[in-house]
Amino acid sequence: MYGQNSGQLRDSLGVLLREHRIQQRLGGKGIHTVPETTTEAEREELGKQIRRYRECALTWCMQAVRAANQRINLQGASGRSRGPAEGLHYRLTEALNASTSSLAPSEELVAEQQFATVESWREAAKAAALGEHDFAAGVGYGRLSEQECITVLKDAADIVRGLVALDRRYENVPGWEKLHNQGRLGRAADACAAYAGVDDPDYTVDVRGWQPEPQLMDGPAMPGLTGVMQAQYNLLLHLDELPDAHSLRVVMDSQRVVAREAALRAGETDPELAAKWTIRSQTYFRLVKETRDLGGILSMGRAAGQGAISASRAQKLDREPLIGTKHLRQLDRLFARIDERVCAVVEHGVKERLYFLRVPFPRVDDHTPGMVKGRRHRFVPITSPVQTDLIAIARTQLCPAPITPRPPKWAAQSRADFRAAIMHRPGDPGPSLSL
Amino acid sequence: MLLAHAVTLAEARSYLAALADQAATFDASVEYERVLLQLDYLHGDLIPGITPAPAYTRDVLFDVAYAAIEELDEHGVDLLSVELLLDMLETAWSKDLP
Repeated sequence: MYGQNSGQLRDSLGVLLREHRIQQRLGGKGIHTVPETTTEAEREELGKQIRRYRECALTWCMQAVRAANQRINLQGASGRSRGPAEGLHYRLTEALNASTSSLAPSEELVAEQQFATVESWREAAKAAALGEHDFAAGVGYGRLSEQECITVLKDAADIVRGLVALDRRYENVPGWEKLHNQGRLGRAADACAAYAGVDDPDYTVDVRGWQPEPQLMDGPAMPGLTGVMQAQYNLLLHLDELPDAHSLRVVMDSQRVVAREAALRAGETDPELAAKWTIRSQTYFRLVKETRDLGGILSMGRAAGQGAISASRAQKLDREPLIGTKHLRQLDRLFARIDERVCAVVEHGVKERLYFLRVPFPRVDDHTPGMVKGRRHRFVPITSPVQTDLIAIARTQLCPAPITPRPPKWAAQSRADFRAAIMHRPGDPGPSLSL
Repeated sequence: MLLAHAVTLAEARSYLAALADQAATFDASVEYERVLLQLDYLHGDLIPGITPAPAYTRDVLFDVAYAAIEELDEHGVDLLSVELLLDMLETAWSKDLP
């Protein structure tokens, strides 16, 4: 996720920004009680390695700025016509083009380093390399709201400010190469951070980005309510593919049973939730009635299996009341997501004419060859004058309120810590750390 | 499927749906619905639609549904499947007590 990767990048650079006497941290000369452990040539090699790590972080910043600003590809624009975001993009491009260093190879990103300073750089570079996947998986212009774009821009500008501050501090490392136009890059980052810091940030962008594909929870049935939740979770994953009409009916029937059995047992612990689940059960009963004549053989039927397992486990639950509000809330979230998916499945199936309604009674088909005439099969689209309440129930009663993403708890703290690290001076206890 | 088979199947489906709607208990309703799902599963997708059943008592609805399912045997439906359907229907009926 964007929040994890950018947070790791900030944390690692924050650690580096609180370090001083860099030569000594790379095994060079320092105070007389600490002996020199590396030669100048070795420190030069470490410096080159750090520059490769820095290149990864700069590339991430460049991609973040590009993802956050639609007017970024103004080739040949003059300084006056560039806004703060374009200005930062221009300076970053300059710095990357002028750099003689390459990106850190995979071996350097995964191998643990001897010196803590280099290790922090490695972690920052690793986070930047992982973070590149986020921009193609939801953190890109067009998919982000304006506030989210501004937040990404601010994050990138702050990280560039940190890199510029570190660049000044590493000047004495043997063979160190300064960032091209370091001062101008720093000023562009300051201007961009100030511009992006005017509006309130939207940290919900932290939950966007690449995530590992969810896996089925196979294996033996878990005991009690967790077993029901296991089957419900697997059902939710199977609902990613459109079920055929018969499977959809089985799924709806199973949800009617699971919701009722859970409501019966949750009544004492959480009456409000139990009432909500009873209504859910009744809604599914209406849906089951409306889908008795639903047909359609396209798509897959794997969801039905998990639905049936889920209903069977729910019916076998002990008659004792369910305790543990955490599990009840988790089950409620699963219900909401399954409802959302079932609603989307019905809408899609109707729109694409994958589900049909059977006409009440057939006629004899006179056009079939042979002496014995079979009955005529008639199907009509759900949206035809032969209407059903299925769509209305799915839209009005089943479809839950949209889930509004909430930013992680640590989102604001991580950024405040990093800003405190940028402003950090030797001897400063750093009060912002305890915000 | 010939017309006689379709008429029998339509009758079985319609009366099972009516039983599921009028069941005295939730468990019985779920069981009737399962019989209906199993019946549909046996016949695939090409089956007649449900027509509203007359407002008889549950006893009559059960007898008609039972007879219709029993008759499916004469239309080429596997005997074992018919027996299993009848057993499921009897289980549902045993739970249909207020």
